[in-house]
Amino acid sequence: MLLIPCPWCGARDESEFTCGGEAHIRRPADPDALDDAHWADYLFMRANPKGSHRERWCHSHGCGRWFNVERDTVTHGIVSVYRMGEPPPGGDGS
Amino acid sequence: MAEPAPGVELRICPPRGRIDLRGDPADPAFPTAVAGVLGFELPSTPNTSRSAGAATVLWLGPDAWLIETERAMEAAVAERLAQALPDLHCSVAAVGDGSVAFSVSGPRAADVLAKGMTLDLDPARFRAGHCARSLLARIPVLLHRPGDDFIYEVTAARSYSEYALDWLHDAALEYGDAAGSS
Repeated sequence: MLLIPCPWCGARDESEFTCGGEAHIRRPADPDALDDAHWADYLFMRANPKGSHRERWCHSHGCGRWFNVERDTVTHGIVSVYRMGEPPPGGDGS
Repeated sequence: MAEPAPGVELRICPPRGRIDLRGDPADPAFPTAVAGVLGFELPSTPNTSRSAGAATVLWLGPDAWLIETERAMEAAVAERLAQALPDLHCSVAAVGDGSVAFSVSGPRAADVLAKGMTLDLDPARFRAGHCARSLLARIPVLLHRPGDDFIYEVTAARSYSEYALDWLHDAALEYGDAAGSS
């Protein structure tokens, strides 16, 4: 079980949260200009790193807020937590 | 020989009015208009409540609050709020009938809740005036500790209330459950 520090409520148990997958995925500015392969890449293809991973989580059974979590996929250690719209502490959120 | 004092008392709270309020606290007109109706400021510290007169306001999220009133006052307070917030991007909804509150009190009250909750219920951490939405025995609840006493209020959706009460009775059994559950 993870103990996730919600930016509003503080440390809460993982069971209160919903994981929304990889963070910082940008919708293409002009979808009509993409071919099927690039559109599929945007829709379906996700990073699956061994190590640091930026994810969206929602405190669905708490304050109901979405936020970002940087988590190590090997150790489950949570490196940082930041609100939507805030830059990732390590930089390069694109 | 006298019966030992029960460690836990369970009680179904009388029906109360509840108003779900959402709005942008960064828009100065919103908190000002709400304070004009309630007579006090909305709590802005996460997981805290504020109470004055006949109303208690619980923080639910950065832009969400629950206003608890007497049952008979619910419609009037909701109407006054709606009138005070005409052109603002916000929502006022009377939701009192949707949930049921239980009072879990006594020296072992936190022990009963801790069997089904992951919240830190250490009395020094979950202090008077603290509230939190969380899970109790896998159902979503709103927990509130109105005062310094060991009295906790558990608010659950009406459709889960029978399950919640059964679960609480079972959890309280070993501490001597003095149930006034009528």
